[in-house]
Order: sequence, then structure tokens, then C-alpha cells
Amino acid sequence: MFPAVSVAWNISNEPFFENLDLISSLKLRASWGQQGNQEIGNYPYSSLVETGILEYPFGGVISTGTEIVETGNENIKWETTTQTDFGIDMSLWEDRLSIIADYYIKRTDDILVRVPLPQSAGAFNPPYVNAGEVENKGLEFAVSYRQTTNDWHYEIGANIATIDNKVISLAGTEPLLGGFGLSDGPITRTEPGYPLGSFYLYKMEGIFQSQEEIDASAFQADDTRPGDVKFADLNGDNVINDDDRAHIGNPFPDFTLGLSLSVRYKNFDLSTLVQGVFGNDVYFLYGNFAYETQLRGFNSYAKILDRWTPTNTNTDIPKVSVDDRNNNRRISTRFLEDGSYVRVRNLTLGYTFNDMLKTDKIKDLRIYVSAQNLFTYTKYSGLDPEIQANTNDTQGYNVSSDLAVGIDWGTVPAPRTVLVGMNLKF
Amino acid sequence: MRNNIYTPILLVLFSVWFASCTDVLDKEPLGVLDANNYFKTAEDAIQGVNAAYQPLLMNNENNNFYWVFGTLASEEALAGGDGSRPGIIEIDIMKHTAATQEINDFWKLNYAGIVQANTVISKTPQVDADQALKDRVIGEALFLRSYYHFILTQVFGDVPLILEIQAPDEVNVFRTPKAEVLAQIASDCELAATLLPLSYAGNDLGRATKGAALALAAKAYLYLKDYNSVLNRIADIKALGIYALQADYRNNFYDSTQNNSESVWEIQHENLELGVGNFLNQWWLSKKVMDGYGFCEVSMEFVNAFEPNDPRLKFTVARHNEPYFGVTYKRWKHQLYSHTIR
Repeated sequence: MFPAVSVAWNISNEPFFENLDLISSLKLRASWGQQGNQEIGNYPYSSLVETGILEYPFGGVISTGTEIVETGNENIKWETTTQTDFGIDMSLWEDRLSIIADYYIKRTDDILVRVPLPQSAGAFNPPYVNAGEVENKGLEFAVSYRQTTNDWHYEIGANIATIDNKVISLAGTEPLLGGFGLSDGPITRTEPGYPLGSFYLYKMEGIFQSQEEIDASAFQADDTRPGDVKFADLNGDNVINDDDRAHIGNPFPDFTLGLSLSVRYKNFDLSTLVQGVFGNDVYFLYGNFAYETQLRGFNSYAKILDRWTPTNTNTDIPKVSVDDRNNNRRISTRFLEDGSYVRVRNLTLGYTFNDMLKTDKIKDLRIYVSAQNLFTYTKYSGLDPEIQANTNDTQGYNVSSDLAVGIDWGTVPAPRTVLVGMNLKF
Repeated sequence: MRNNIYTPILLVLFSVWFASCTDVLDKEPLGVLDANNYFKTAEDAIQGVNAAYQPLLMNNENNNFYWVFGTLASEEALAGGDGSRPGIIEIDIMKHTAATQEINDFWKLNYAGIVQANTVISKTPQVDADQALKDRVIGEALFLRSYYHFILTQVFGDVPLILEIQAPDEVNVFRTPKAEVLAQIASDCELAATLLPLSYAGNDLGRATKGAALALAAKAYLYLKDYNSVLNRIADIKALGIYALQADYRNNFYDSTQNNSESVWEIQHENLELGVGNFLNQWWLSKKVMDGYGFCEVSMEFVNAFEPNDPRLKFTVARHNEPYFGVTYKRWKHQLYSHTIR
């Protein structure tokens, strides 16, 4: 059973509001509710098998077989979200300006996430697990203004939302691991006090400039040489090992922004949609290729020309080496970047010929040019700051893990498309 | 403008939704292949165990790198190639880490086989089939589970010993000491030997046999240094009376003389395009020969380990200007080489 209660007070209907022309409506809202989530496909409690897979030749004849493709979780139960929300709806100047503001606290119990299994369990599609309790809270604010005069009509809208995601408790005692990368994964670690899929990394301090500096620092590897990455000895035991990793980096943005604009002047129309994401971290896993050399002949970014050499010491790119004996490519802040971006999602310009048409068979004719993903403003050095989840995180199984968002495997970026079109109405 | 301006409005909404509270709503899955409901017929059990053989194949589809650990990690051969498998070079020069891809792939592949075998072992008893078939299928799965554990323990030493279907909260297990893994293999194989047939005909050729199970039990005892048991199992194999060495060593490598009397159990390969073929021909073929990947260039040390005039050498190592299974290989120096290697 999932109960919900909501209360609203339409203040603008009160007698004392009668003579206020500025504010056309004002409403205060509060709500509390619980909701269940089971949007996790069918039958997550049982292991799934796929039939008819070509398996193996017996006596020269290729036989089919039935393979387990996903392990089930017999103990699975509903995820329950309890949301408390306080809001204001206000409109001014005869509804031309409207403002909506909300503050919400959302606690999700028994959150359903796909948690990768250790490979000794078969490494199938990760099963859904009721992982624990997660809290999301934030502020949502939306404002829009519209006005129409004889020739002009315009509407401007903006919204901003903040999100603060934190794991309150875990169902099991062990932290959940995610983001099994190319090198020494897992990249993320989920545990109370940190966001879901929080990056758990070594910290890069800089580049070793001399043998003396290496000797005076915590031990990293037998073959550490000047030009290698210096990692921080976070626990102070004078050895760099797995215990020197820490929660550095949050895949969730501090806030997201949306802007929309729609203008009509006589027969012209122009509309645009701009989206922004700020303050999220992205793990540039592709940097394993971009900023390192490989035994395999992949190309690198041109930036690798600025690598450390005895004569080029003021750089953050370590020396190149064939076998990377210091393990410079280990999962560290070296590949952690700010994933903030602003993207012009859509821009459309159109012209309507309705009153110029000499036939009444066509009611309306509009031609337009529309561009998707026209511009992106970002400092992120990968292909696209809008990261697509990648199934490499689950070692090739065909779903991605919920605990590995914000890891960039260099997937195909969102394309920029330009459309020229015509609308005809009869 | 506003009609009911004098009416104070207080809206209270109270809504209650009822969700699954009764058993009526708990339906069995329909049309979804749920492992709990799948295993019903003899054919289901056979299909299940067929899938447990798949990890044996030596190709790109499943990344079986068993050969790397014995051959490249030793001085028998060097990892050549074009660098497209940096992991095998890491293993060759002993710079591998837990992150080396081939090591992970090998681990994952064999545990996929173990989990599949465990499913077959636990589900087959309930299927509607005659007992002889159920015994055979369970025997095959026991043998395969033992084989996968065996090669894992050869490479890694102590490994998790997985003998049951695990719930997601039971998957974080410790490694089991190698001796316990081997003891389990020996006893499972001895049990499998009582369930499996002596041989197969036609479209079942290549499945695990009684002899294969006894041989793997003997190998497990060998690593346990229980030599009496080794001798007993080998005596059991001999008593089966169906195995003998080939008069001509090369028969072990011809397509037409596969599964001969010298072969106790043999991994079957058939068709590369359909994903059930063997890639090692090309991977191992020297880079000095056109189309060769050269992932496993034999060392002179290996060649010199053969005694003079050992007839096996010329069927083991292809050398410059010498015939090897009917093809005379030459070092490839920028001119096209006309033979297609099969």
C-alpha cells in the first residue's frame, strides 16, 4: 500500500487578495507520498535462460544450447520512495509571468539497482538488488514569461534544478563496486555518506621530476622513474597501494539548467532549447588511449606531444613508455574531469507563407531550418560530455550497471544534425 | 474575473493505492524462459548441458586463453604478434597484473562454465526423462565443472570452489585451498565415471565419457600426490579396453583422424564463421608466414628439447623450407605467399 497526501492553499482566492492586480494567482503546496517502483523488467527474481544459442559441435554437427543470461534474485522486493515536497506556484501580470518553485526530499528505500557480480558467479547480466536507502534532495525552480502584441509573440522559459544524492545505508555490509574499467577497476564505490556510484580513485599529485623526489616519496613501483605520475599517499603508510584510494568525484551534477525561447515576428518563427549541466565529474576512461601509448597501435591525442621529458618538465602528462611500469594509467584523478557543459540542443528558424498562397487548396506552408546539438560549450576534453552508459562496465554483458554512470569509454558522441524542412497543411 | 472569489479553497486530497497484497497477483512467468521453469524435458536437460561445453572452445568468441599460461609464461614460446594483445606480452615477460585482460577473460570464461554446469546439475533431477539420460547429463556436467575448476586451479592455485547455484547475496566467496579443490574434482569425477557411458556415436561424439572422467580424477590425484589412486584410476582406464596409442603420431592432428583411440577426450571444433571453430591455427602461425599472427613463436630452446630424430618434432614445429603436414613453409619476405593455411 502506498499512501499519499497533498495540501494546497490558493491564497489568491482569499478576500484580501481581491484588489491585487499584480499577482493573478498564488498557491502554496505541500505533499507527502509514497510510491513503489518495479520498473525493472519482468521476473528479476528468477534466472533467465536464452535458448537456441549455437554452442558446440558434437560429432561434427553444431548443437544449440540453452544458456543462463541473467541471474535472478529470489529475495527481490519493491523499491519504496517517500517524497516530501513544498512548493509555490505564482503568476503575475495576468499570467504573463509564472513562477514555480519546489523543494523536495526523496528517500528511496530498498533501491533497485543492477549490481555487478564477481566473475566467479558467472558474470552474467548484473541482477537487480535492493541495495539500501538513498536520499535525493534538491530545489527546482522554473520561470516563464510570455507576451503577445500585434506582430510579436514571445515566450521565454528557464528552469534550474539542484540535486544532492547520498546513500544513507546499504542493505549488505560490503560497499558496492561498479565501473570495471580497462585497467585496475572498479572505478566506483557505493557506500553510506557518498553518492551512488561515487568515484573512488588514487589522487595524482603531479609528475616526479627527479630520482631524489622519487626516493623521498612513498614507494610506488620498483621501476618508478622521473616523468612518472606521483600519487598521493593518502593513508600515510609510505606505500602507494589500494588503501590510498578515496572518494574523489561525484557523477551527479550540482545543478542542471534548461532555457527555452520561442519568438514569432510576423511570419518568422524562431525557437531554441538550451541545456546545461554543472558540477558533475566524468571519468575520462578513454584517456587510457588518448594520453598513453599502447603496445597496440592506437593513435593518441596531440596533447601527448606535451609529455614529460627531461627538457619539458612543466606538464601534467607523464613520460611515454611501452609497458607503463609505474602504472601511470591506474584509476586516478588524472583522468577525472569536470563534465559541465552547456549545449544548444535545438535551434529552429521558420517562415510561414499562409497569406501569400494563391490557392486555397493549401492552407499553410512553412519552411524551416532546424539544428540539433548545434553548439556545445565545455572544458571537457573527451568526445562528448554527455556520457552514454556503456556496457563495457559490466564486462561486455549487454546492460550497463547503475553504479557506473559518468564513465566515458569514448562512445559515439551525440551527432550535430541540420534539417531543412517544409510543412504543408491541406 | 474570478467567479468564486469569496470561497476559500482548501484542497485536501487523500489517495490510497492498493498494490500487490494478495497471492492472486503473483503469477508464474508466461513465455519467459525462466531457469526455474525451463528444465522440464529430456531435450531441455541436453540443451542445458550443451551450453556447458561452450567455454572449451579456443576462439575469439569466448577468449579461452588457457594456452597462454602454459606456453607463453614458460620459455617454450614467445609472445610475438602485432601488439594487439598486450596482455599476452605482459604474461610472457611476467609483468601481468590482476587487470591483465587475458587473465580476467580466462577466469570469467571458466566460471561461466561452472555456473552453467551447476544449473544443469541442480535442475536435471527434476526433468521428465529416463534415468539413464539424466545420469548421463549430470555426469557430463560434473565432469565439465571439474575440468573448469581443474584448469583454474592450475593457473591460479587456490580458487573459489562453486558447487551450487548462488543467490546474489552469497556470491562474495573466499578462495578454497587448492588441495580441497583437487579433492572435490577427484571425487566428482569418480562419481561422474559411474554415470557416464563408455563412448558415444554419431552426433554425440565429443561428450564426456567414463574414460575422460577417470582420467581427470587421475590427474587430480597426481597433483594431490596420491600416487596409489593415480595408478588405480589409470588401471580403470586401461581396463575399459578402448584406448591405444596411434602407430602414426601425426594422426592426432588430421581432421580425418580426430577422436581416435589415442584420444581419451577431445575438445571439438567445427566452424569458425559460426563461432564454434578454433582460432589457434592463425594465432600460432608464425608472423614470418603470411596471415600468421605469431602470438606464439616457439623458442629454439623448445625445439632443442626434442631428442635427435624425434619423429614428433616435424609435426610439432613448422620450420623454414621443411614440409609440415604437406605444406612447405617459407619465411615471408614481402612477397605473396600462395598457400592458404588450414
